[in-house]
Amino acid sequence: MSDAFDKKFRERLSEENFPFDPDAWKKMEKKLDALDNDTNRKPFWWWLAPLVLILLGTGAFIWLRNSTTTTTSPVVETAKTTEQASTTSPADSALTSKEKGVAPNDDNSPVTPPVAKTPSTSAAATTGVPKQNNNVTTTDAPANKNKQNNQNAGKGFSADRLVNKPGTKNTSPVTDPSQQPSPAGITGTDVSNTSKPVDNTSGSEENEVLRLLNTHYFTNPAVSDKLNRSGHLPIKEITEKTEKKKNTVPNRKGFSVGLMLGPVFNVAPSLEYGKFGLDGGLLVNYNLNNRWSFTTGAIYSDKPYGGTRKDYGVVKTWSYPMNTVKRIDANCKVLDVPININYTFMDRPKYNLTATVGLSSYFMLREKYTYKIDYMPDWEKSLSNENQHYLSVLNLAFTYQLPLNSHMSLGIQPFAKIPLGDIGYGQVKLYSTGVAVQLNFNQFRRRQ
Amino acid sequence: MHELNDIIEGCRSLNRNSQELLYRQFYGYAMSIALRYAQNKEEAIEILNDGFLKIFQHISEFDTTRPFKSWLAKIVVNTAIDHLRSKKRISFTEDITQVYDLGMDDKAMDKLSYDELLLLVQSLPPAYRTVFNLYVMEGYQHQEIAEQLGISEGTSKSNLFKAKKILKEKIEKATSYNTVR
Repeated sequence: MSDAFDKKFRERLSEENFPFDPDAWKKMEKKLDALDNDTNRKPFWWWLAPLVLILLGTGAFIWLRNSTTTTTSPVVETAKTTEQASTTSPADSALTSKEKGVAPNDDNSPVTPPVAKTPSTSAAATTGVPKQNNNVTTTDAPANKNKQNNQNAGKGFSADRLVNKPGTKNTSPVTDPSQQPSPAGITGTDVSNTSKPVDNTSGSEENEVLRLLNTHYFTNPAVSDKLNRSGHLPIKEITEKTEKKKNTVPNRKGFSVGLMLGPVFNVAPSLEYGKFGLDGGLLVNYNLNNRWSFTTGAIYSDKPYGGTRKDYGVVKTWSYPMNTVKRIDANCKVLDVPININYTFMDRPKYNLTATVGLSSYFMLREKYTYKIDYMPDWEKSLSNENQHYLSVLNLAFTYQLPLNSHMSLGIQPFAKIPLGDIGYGQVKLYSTGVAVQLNFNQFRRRQ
Repeated sequence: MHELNDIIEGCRSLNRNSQELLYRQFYGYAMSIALRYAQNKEEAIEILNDGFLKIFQHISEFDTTRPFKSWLAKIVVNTAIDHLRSKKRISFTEDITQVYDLGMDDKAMDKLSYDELLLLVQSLPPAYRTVFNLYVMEGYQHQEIAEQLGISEGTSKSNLFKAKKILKEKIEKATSYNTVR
């Protein structure tokens, strides 16, 4: 029977008489070592993760609340084509006769060639045809500055030409738009945020207009180039450009350098005897994009502080009478090397807000302690370069940054430094908080 | 057992000495399992060590009221199967060969040593070997095997059948050779 066979097999093959192989254990140890290295790093990040999440969470929350007020990309109004059709068909013939090289607009009847209305002309035209006004809004897009200047000059030549061109009855080069019988000059094409013509018919109309414009501006290569390149009418875009330029947020990617200086309050856990010091130094920043960046640097920190006996861990190692010390004053010169991650949760052209989290290494360049013991003269101890605390201080900060010009910005950064271990010979959990003023220099380009 | 619990405690504290003690204590047992699934000793050690790594990683989750050996066996078997899978040694094809009683007699086996029997098992094609081990050695039922390996019960049954058939032939051959001599 199979069962007997199975049973016997199991018995026989379960006899174990394997001598222990030390090589096998060596291999095992290697695996265990590799595992230990991985797990040892974990506690660190477990610590930071919730903090980072909280910071990001608050940042995201604020950002989401403000997202409706973010500047949106330019939108051109949809042409109410049917309304246009009736009033502009006569204009077509005028248009055709006036403009050279324009193909007969076969599809002109149902759809008016869309023209973005300029602000200067819109008001005038509005009075002429109230119906079409509903659709009119300002439009933006990159465009020729020349045009913009022309339009800013009022009813300049180009402006009127642009307005008059498609679907207008008036054939004169410069006309008062208010006299336009057709409201065609007022309509615009709907260009979605992605800069694509939404309506197929209006798209073809646009191309038509573009060609028209091109033929007129063929002598002006800059203009015609722009016309050729843009997939939609750049008309309205012109006025907006110079205004928008100031309103865009720069493209932040790459390195920047900064100087920082600020008062710092240093205090031990007992919160007695905290003192003000000064931090100043150099920061190097690397932006991955407009949201994320890394910072490191070197900050010289003058840290005076005081503490009670309990604050100083080192007192535990002392014997009588030293361990009766009531108060210890410290004066330390520290080199603070931070490694921070920054998240810009609010990015506006005029300012941005950033949350920072990171770790600092403290290099205790000079430590001087003054022990105040009852009935004894003050006792001093000084050390130089004896203590280094790698990544032992948690940095938390918020920065409010103002661009001063295209390559410089000013930052105001309230911060807190929380010790993850004991600092210095004194073994004090030294907390620092302060406000730093930063001046940053960068090579960022403004978004076009 | 008391001693074993102390060792387990030590392992929970990531004490390297405790880990070594545990390893040494169950090396033989784990090795006997691993060798059944592996092609050779090196592969068996690889499986064994990976199995122990999992044990050390999850030792805190082990319920000390339960027998440690069965937990260890389970982990080593799972590690062996994962190992064979990752090395693409085993691939199962759906098989519904009719199984029948082989009428296997167990006497012939007595003439073979442990090592010889082990060699016979190792000589089986990996897919058959795995099913054979799981059924005969580990005591799983076909349904469990099917679940574990992602095959149908029918395939499990036919693989077992084929494994036994081969073993029977080989045992007979080995023993007849022995008796002849």
